[in-house]
Order: sequence, then structure tokens, then C-alpha cells
Amino acid sequence: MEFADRLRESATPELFLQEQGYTFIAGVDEAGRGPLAGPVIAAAVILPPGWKCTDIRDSKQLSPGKRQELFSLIQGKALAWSWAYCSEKEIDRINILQSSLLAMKRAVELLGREPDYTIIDGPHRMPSPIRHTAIVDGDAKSLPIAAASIMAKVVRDSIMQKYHVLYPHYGFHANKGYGTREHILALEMHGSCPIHRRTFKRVP
Amino acid sequence: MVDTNDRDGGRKSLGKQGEDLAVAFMEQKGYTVVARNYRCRPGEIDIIARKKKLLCFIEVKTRRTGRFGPPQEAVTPAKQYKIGRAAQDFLQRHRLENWPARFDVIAVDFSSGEGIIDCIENAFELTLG
Repeated sequence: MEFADRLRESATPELFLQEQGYTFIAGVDEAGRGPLAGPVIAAAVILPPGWKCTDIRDSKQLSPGKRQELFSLIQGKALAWSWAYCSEKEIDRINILQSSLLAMKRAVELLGREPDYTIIDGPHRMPSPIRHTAIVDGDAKSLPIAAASIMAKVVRDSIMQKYHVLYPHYGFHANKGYGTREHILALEMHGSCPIHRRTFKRVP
Repeated sequence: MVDTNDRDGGRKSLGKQGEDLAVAFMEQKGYTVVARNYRCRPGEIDIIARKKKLLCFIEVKTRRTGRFGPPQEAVTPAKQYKIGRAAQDFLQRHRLENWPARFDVIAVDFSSGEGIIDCIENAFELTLG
């Protein structure tokens, strides 16, 4: 079996990589593939080899308060971390999947140190020549990917909270740009605002 | 009158709420819903929508709590296969084999009370065996 296949099938990808001699492993994930408005954010993080934290798991299952707490913890412990985004305009131009992959690529490039190996969440590889593997369910299987997932979500939530001040009709502070009944009603009443993704607008 | 289907009915109504919300969401995005709960021998598709010449086959996953992981992860490869076969049935029946098509998962999370919609476009590729 090829290396990448063994890595993808491993229950603990970062341990597998450590056994193979890689020390500094970057985990990468994105937030904001599914909402109606706002950017897609990606985060990359390199954790100290061997560091463990059982609280860090799928960011969507954590309360906002817990995510914030873990965000600070990861920031303090990480050897390097970064985040990057693709704007609504880029999403409209190159589609949401390519934008999430591009945001992940940018996040890795912004890391303060070069990782020995990079693992990202999902089935798709980034458009990048760096050595990396995409792992389905990576956020559940791998600590660095779960940490990146938390960071991406916290960063994105805080950006959407700021957008709420600029565009107060849509409840971005609560829904973070995701579709809710109120958000859909607000779109019907007020139309879209500059951070709505064009692919989601009634008239393209 | 006592509703003897109460337990099952309660669960169904949440799924229905999720699907209704997903339909409103797709319509807001400028799509026309062409079928709901399309049933055929190979399987079922919750929503079929189109925008211009693009068809979307949508699986709606509704959850009351986030405890069992993100709803879109509940679409197993077996389920994807069934949806793919049902989509093929729909395309053949309506002579639309050459139309571009996409498979989306719309996750509706009711854990915070109101339904929060997470739409994963191109959630999976067509798997035909």
C-alpha cells in the first residue's frame, strides 16, 4: 500500500507520521464552506510533537465559549499557526470548493516555519506542490487538524461578528452568515449585502 | 384524539421542518425546486432543484443535537451510492442524461433552537457501479 493510503487509513495520522520520521506536522482545516455570506477561512497549526489535549475535537461539536478557550490554549502551545481567507468575490469567481482549498494553501504558506508534512481535512488536495495529504474525517482523527478547525471557526465567527456592525439586517452576529429562517427572510426584505456570495443571490 | 404515531411523527416533523427550510434556502439562492422526495426503486432524493441548466440532487440531514457529529458526515458511501442511482433514474426518466448535475448535502442543525443551514455543494461525486 502506498504511503498516502496508509496515512489516510491510519486512526491517528500524526502518530503514523511521527513513526515515519516526520516531526513537525501541520494540520489544516477551513470554516465557512456552507454559509450564504462571508469569507471562507482556513487555519494551519503545528503543535509540539507528542502534545496531547483530549478536549480538542470537532469544532462544530464544541460550544462557542469552549472553542474560544481552546483557541487561546492552542495559540499558546502551538509552535506556529496562521490563518488565511478567500473573499466572497473570489468564491464567486472560482467556486467555493476551490476557494476553500486556496485559503488552506495560503494558510500553510503563512506558517512561520516550514512543516515536515501537512495533513488537511476532507477528500480534496490543495493546489500546492508542498508535501501533503487530504484525510476524510481528518478533524475527528487528527489533533492538529481538529486544532486548525477550532482556530478557523473562531477567527471566522469573530469576522462575522464585525460584519454584523456593518450590515445589521441579517443577524450575522448570531448566524455567522449561515442560512436561517430569519436570514432568508432578511434577504427577501432587504436584498443582499456586499458580503453575500453572488452564487447565493436570486439574480446572478 | 391520541396520535398513535406520536414518537415517529415527532421525528418526521423535524425532518420535514429541515426539508422545508432547505427548500426556502435553495429558492433564495435562485434555484427552482423541481421535485421533493423523489422515490424510485434504487432510492430516494430529498430535493431536486435546478438553476438554468444545472441540476442539484440534495440530501437533507436534520439534527436536533450536534452530539453525533456534523450531519453531512451521516451521508455514508452506501447512501451516496443509492442517491447516485436514484439520480440516474431521474435523469434517464426525464431524458436529461447530458445535463450537468451536482450532489449537495444540506445540513440543518436545530441544536440551538432555530434551524441553522449548512449547505455543502458538491458534497460527493456520482458513484455508479
